[in-house]
Amino acid sequence: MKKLRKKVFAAAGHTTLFMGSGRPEFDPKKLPSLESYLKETAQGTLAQLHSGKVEEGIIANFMSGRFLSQGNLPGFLPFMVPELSGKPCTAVEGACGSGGRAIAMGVRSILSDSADTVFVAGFEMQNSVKAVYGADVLAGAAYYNRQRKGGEAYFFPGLFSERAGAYYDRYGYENARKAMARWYDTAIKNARLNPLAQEYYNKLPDPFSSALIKPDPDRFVPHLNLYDCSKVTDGAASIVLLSEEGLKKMGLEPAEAVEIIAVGEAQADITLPPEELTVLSTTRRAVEEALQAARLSIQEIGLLELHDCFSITALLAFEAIGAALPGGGAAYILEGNSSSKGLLPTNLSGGLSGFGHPTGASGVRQLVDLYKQFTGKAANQGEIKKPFGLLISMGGNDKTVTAVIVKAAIPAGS
Amino acid sequence: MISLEKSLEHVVIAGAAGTMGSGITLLLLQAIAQEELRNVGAVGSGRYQLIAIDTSIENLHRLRRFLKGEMKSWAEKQIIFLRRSYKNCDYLVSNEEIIAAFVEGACDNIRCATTPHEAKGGALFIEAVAEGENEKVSLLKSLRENAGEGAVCCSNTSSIPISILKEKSGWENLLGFHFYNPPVSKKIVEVVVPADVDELTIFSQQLAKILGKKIVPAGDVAGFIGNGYFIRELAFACEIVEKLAKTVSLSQAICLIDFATEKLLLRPMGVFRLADYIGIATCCSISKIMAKYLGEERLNNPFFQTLLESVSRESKGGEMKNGFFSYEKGKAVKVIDIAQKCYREVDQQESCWRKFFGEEEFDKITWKSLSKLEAPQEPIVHHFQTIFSAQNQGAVIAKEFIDNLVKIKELLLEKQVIKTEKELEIILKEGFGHLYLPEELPIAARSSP
Repeated sequence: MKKLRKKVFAAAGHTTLFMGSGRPEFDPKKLPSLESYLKETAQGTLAQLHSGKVEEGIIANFMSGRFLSQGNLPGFLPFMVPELSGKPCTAVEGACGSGGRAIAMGVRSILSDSADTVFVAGFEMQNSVKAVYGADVLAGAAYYNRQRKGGEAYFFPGLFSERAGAYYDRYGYENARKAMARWYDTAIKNARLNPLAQEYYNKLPDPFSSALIKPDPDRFVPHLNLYDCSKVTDGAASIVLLSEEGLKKMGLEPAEAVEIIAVGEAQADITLPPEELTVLSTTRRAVEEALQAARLSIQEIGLLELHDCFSITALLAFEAIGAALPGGGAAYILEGNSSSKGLLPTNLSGGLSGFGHPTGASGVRQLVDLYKQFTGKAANQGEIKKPFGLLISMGGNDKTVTAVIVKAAIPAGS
Repeated sequence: MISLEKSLEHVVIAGAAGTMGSGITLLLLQAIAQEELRNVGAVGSGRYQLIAIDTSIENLHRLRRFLKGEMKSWAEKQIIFLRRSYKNCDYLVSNEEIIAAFVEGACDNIRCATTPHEAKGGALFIEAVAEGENEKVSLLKSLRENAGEGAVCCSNTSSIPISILKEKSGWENLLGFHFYNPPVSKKIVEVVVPADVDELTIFSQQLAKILGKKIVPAGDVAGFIGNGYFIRELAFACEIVEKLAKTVSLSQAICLIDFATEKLLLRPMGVFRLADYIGIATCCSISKIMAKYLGEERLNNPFFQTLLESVSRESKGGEMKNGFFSYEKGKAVKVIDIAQKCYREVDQQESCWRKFFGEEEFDKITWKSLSKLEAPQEPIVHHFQTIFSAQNQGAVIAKEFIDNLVKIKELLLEKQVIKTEKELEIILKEGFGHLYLPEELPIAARSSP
């Protein structure tokens, strides 16, 4: 997207608890219902608005058609937000990047003056099927007809395992594995501060050491272990996007919101393999576009929510966004640069690894977490030294990527 | 004699729908499916067949449903292996398609039958019917009449000498292959090869390997190792019950000894509940077989034999597995009252309990809590030091049970049921869940109070 022609804000975000096997109360036979997730996130968001009505709705989701046999998702928006009945409602799908694309669509609505207030939600319920079958469903984020047959039993871990293997070959195995284990360790420690996170109750005495176990291709995939992977999750998130007029209509002060100052979207051809396995080229393009539109460098970003579906993805993402040089992602993490007190605090929410990854919800959840951090409402509130935040929402194997840059209404230190 | 590889193409399991039979059938079905995948590249090609024989058609239907469900669960866990195995089947793309094809093919390999005649030409027979000498001999004869040339027969008997079965049934290639309960999860099998025939020994080793089992070789003596231990201990327990029943009721005596063997000896369950778990009718049959072939005084004790028969008779018609106790949701709730022909509550507040066990509390350290520890030896030794320093009847009886187990071991060595103590150790720990051997208790802990 080019420089935004008018101000767009995000406010009043709410995320449900992210449910999965990491939570002690998880029971696959007694899952919370779709309706409960949708209602909870919507009511949580609406409760933060003081007046007015939302004028448009967008819902992000990847595969409820298979996980829940449920389509026609726009129909759930008036269920979530009754005032949307009779209003324009749209569903957006971009695999695990659905949330980011939904945010971009919402921004377009504000920019086009078709609405001053847009309710954006995302959800996914994956625990309705066993993981062995869920792997087939999630494989739909890749070029299924050509790729599934030759893929691993656990398809998407298999795709990123290939990237990890290429990274080990090119830049060294030991440091990469340590960085990935450190990534997991940090994700868990952040998640332990976030009551909504799937790993909130994680009791591993030493997550770092656990994550160092050698990958075993006979039990999982060749170059990743289970700790390298975000868990299957159910959950929902929602937020309201607003123009300046919309803020007034909702009775919100700018200080209660964050401003979206740039959106970068990049799409790669799903039928083609990655240009290079050790490079997230689509992520690089999306982030470059956003930074360019915002006239910022990556060094000016104060808070990052990146799409760590796998630990290797995090490592590659730091290189893609220019925070680290090619091959330097491992060292970047090991040096603590992505920790809460580092150069670029990242995934203070726990990220996909610690919070969880309900595929359709993650992008929206990331924006909610940026919003909370910059308005001082986060459960695991960080000390953010710069007023700009960046989220990266990725769909598929670096195919459908959205980068969103936000700015705190009240600069840090004020 | 036929090779194992060839024999897997035509397997017959008699008693397939029983408690042990269904688990054994599942193991063979999994092994055959993997063998077929390796050799043919798909399952259900028609080259392999497993004939499941049982007298009840209803039970056979239930068996089919059980096998289908279990094969699906197994396939889900083995998906990585299956994807590799099916890599050349272009039409099977997703995990779901591969699992479905595998399960369907495996189930296509099963043929259900109600008579041995439908097993004509069988190459590997497994007999898993109820423990009774005449019944097994009669069945083995029928199976032999339908066996293919060089066929091998494995008997799941846990007590009848294989040489007796061989002599009476006429089977040339007969061996004992006794699975522990439940067959799928217990890793050990007692193997008895009469006269140490090399070919059969090798066959048994190959069979154990493809089933993922560890062989414990046993001498061809009635009861072998497992029942050689357990039935003798059960007989000993009944002896103590007989003495106790002079001062308390028979029902109370059964409860006291059962409780003592569980709590004081740190076992998964008491000796009488274990008898119920095995099946009281089965224990009755086994005890008669062992009494017949071993001639030991304790095994021929009229009180022991009568008690088992009475319990077996009075418990019939109740919930499955009722015996010395009746059960609700797997928990023992009442004890048998033979005189009144009913089950009744056990009063653990009666004074005889305090006299027997003192004021000891038994919830602090249990078999369950110990079995979760990596190194339970220290708390076990401490437990026994506490027990044996107590001045009560329970402590005396616990010591007697431990001494009796030592004597059983010596008897098994003497009768060459086991060649070394190691075989008994494996059976006790991996078959019966024991957490220690008497020899592992320090002498002081084993001395009388």
